[in-house]
Parts: sequence; C-alpha cells; structure tokens
Amino acid sequence: MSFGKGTAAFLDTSIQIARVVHDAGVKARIKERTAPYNLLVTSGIVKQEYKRRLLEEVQWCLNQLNDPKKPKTFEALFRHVTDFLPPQQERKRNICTQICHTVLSVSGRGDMTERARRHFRTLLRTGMALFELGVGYVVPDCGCACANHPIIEEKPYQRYDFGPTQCTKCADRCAVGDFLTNQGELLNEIRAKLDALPTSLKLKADKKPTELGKFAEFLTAYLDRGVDPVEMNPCLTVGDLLIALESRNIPHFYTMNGKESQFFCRWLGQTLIVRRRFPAHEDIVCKASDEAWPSFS
Amino acid sequence: MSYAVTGSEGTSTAEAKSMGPLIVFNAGNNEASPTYRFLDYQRRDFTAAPAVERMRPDTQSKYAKKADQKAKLRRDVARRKIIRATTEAEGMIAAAESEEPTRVNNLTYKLRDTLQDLWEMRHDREEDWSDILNALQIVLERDEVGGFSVPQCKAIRDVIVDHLTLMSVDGVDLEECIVVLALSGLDPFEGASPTGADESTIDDEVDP
Repeated sequence: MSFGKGTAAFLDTSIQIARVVHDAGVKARIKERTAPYNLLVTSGIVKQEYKRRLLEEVQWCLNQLNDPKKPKTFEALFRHVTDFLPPQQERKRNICTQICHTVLSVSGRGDMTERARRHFRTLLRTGMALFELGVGYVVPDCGCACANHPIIEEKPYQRYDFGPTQCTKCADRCAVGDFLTNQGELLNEIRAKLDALPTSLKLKADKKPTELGKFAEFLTAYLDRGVDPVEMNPCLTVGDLLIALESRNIPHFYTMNGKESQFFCRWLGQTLIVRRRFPAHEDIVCKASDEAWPSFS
Repeated sequence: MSYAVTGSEGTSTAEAKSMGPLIVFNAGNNEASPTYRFLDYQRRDFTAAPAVERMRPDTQSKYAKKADQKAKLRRDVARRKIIRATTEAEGMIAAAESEEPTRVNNLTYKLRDTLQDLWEMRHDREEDWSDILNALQIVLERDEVGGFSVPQCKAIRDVIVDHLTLMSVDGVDLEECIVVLALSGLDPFEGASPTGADESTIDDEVDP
C-alpha cells in the first residue's frame, strides 16, 4: 500500500463559508493559517451544512429580489437584512449580510439590483465547486445523501433544487446509521462525557436543550432506546456531533465557532484553532497538550 | 496534481487507486508535526472540457433576431469591444510582467470602461454571458491600485478570450470562469468588511 505523509487540518462549516463570502481580511487570515498544511480536509456533513446555511440563504436573497408581488431592490434587501431581521435570526442576518457585501464593490457601476441577481445566481451555480476548491479531501464516511445531492437549476434566477435536508426524506440513500454503528465505543465515551457536563451547559434558561443537550438526547435515544438514527434527522439536528466524529482522526480542527468544538476537540485529542470574526484578531490555538483552554461561548 | 508516493506496504498503487481515495490519519505523539498517511490518489482538478469542444445551446437573446439589422450592428460593435478588451488584458499581462504597476492600473481603468460598454449591450446576449461579464467586472472593481499579478491578468484575459468571445455560452462556461478567476486569486465573492465597529474593543467569542 502506498502512502504519502504530511500535515492536515480539518475545516468546519464556518470556515468553509468564510472562505467563500467573508471579507478580504478574514479570508487572508484563513489562507495564512491553512497554507502550511499539506492537506486540508472537510467532510460530507460540512458540505450539507454549507449548502443549507449559505447557499439556501443566497436563494432567499434571490427570492427577495424576484418576489412577484413586492420585488425588492438590492438596497431594500440590504436594509431588510441589516435592520429588520429579528434577533432570533442572527445567523441568517450575519450570512445574508456577508452575501450582500459581496455585491457592493460594483456599486458605482449602477444596475445594482440586476447585478445582485446575477451575482447570487453565479454563487448558486458555482458554490459547490468553490466548496472543494483548495480542499484536498472530503471525508465521505457519513455517506450523507443530503450532501451528495447536487444543486439543480430548475429555472435560472428563480428555482433551485437543493435536494432533501432531512435524512428521513432520503433514508434509502442515507448511510449515517452505518456510520454511527461503526463508531463502536466512541459514542458511549462521548455520551458519558456529555452527561458529566454541568446542566447549565445542556439546558437554556427556558429549559430547552442547548446544542450540547441535543447531542446528549440524541445519543441516549440511539444507544439506550435503539431509535433508528435516521428517524432523528441527525445531519440536520446534531450536525456538529457528526462533524466531530468525521474529523476525529485529523489532528487539527479549524473553526470560527468554538462553543461546541471546544468539548469535542478536547475529548478527541485534537488541537482546536478558532478564527475570530475580526481580521485584526489573532487565531486562538488550543493545543491538545495544553492543560487549560480559554472558554468559548 | 497528485501527492508524491513515499513508501510501500505491499499493495500496488493501481490496487490502491481501485479502492478509491482513502486516507489513514495518524496524529502520533508529535503535536508540532501531526501527520497523516494516505493512499496515493489524484487530487481533484477543475479541468472541464475545453470551451470550444462542448456543444452549447443556441441561446441568442430574444432581442437579437437575425433579421434585425440594428441587432447585427450592435453585435458587431460588441465584437469590436471584446477585441479591445482582449488587447487591454494582453497589455495588462505585458505591464505586469515588466513590473509596471502604474501601467497595469491605467489599463485596468480602460478595461473597466470597455467592459461597462459591453454591460450596456448585455440585452443582446444570453443571460450566462451577462453573468460572466458581471463576475469579471466585480473582480476588476476589487482592485484599486492596479496590483494585479501576472497570473491574475492572464486569468482575466482567459475569461475574455475563452468565454466572452464565444458566440454562445452556457452555465458551464460561467462555472469555469469563476474557477479560473478563483485559482488565480481573484475572488468574485469577497465581501467588504461587515462591521464599522472598533475591532480592538470587541472581544468576540472568547469568554473573559
């Protein structure tokens, strides 16, 4: 068997999105961080999240410009995104703001609404190619059917088929169940560590589960009650858990969101690198061998 | 582009390739130099079929009927503009090769104006052609000091010559253009900074 050798880093969804639509400063920082690695790795679940979180928002922006009753101008769309999206939709607002900012450089050339429509369509057409550009390997272990469905342009500038977003809708092609079966004792170990976390990290003030709480509930249902994982739509509901499992053999994990990753990386013996939102800020490197890490929220 | 094979453990490369890409990671104990091992496999290259060999739909704009003499004239004007754009892009390459940033900058302004003239004529062409032109204009607007490198100037020239000059283009041309531009470091989706806040006062994500 022939082998090559080198250093590798795993890029999670936030980094993959930032590599496409963030500003030049953040992109340069990510490039600088990833350049020394011989191999950049990402995964099928990351691809699925990238489609759902970035490209579906691009479709939403396009729909706002195309609305048959009240078509927005680009300026109105931008104002709507920045001023009127509610705080509960913070992620949507952040991503849509980034998407709108990608059009602004041609603002002096006029026809902004038309340019924005064309630009959004271009991003929808090329988004999946850009996802893999510069990445050496996409871990296929989960066999995520949602991720593998291509984006089909049914009607240019208007209708795009992103494929299913729920495992139950493509159960015959979804291999997440097999993937979890192959994890062996690791799932029990992660569940035990999740159980040992303080309740405040697993329950919000309104008693609804946090992301970590959802992971614990999912593992309990799967391991103790034998619930078919596909029925729980894991790539939609516990994506970060699956991404952690997919990345487990890659020594460095690069993300812009350390909130959940700080636990998984620690448990899986990975070095966590957190890219902060502002280009002037340095990455936070939490080495696997360090005893104490900063806390991310 | 492929990784070099550095060792052998009994299975031939051909056999390994037939198994598909498979990576075996080994973090080892040396954190400073985490290692992985992987079977020899081809990295993905974005090499679509050459533009001229693919069948494209006849998608001339509804505004450009063949019998329309004015449309013919407009197409001739557009053809001349594209030739001019090609010349300007070639000039940018020569200026970048001879390390003359001022000339690159001046030619960039000229090319922007030429492309803007083409943008005004976009209704004579199919939507994909206009999308390619829009993407090219966006990357050209990014640069304010004429700092395009030789590979970037070549990518700009290639998009003009290989795609904008064609009688008909399709969505695959659009994808190829974006990849050609991105590979040269020209980024059509680069956003302006989303915040006007004083960055030094904001401690994002990390708990105090």
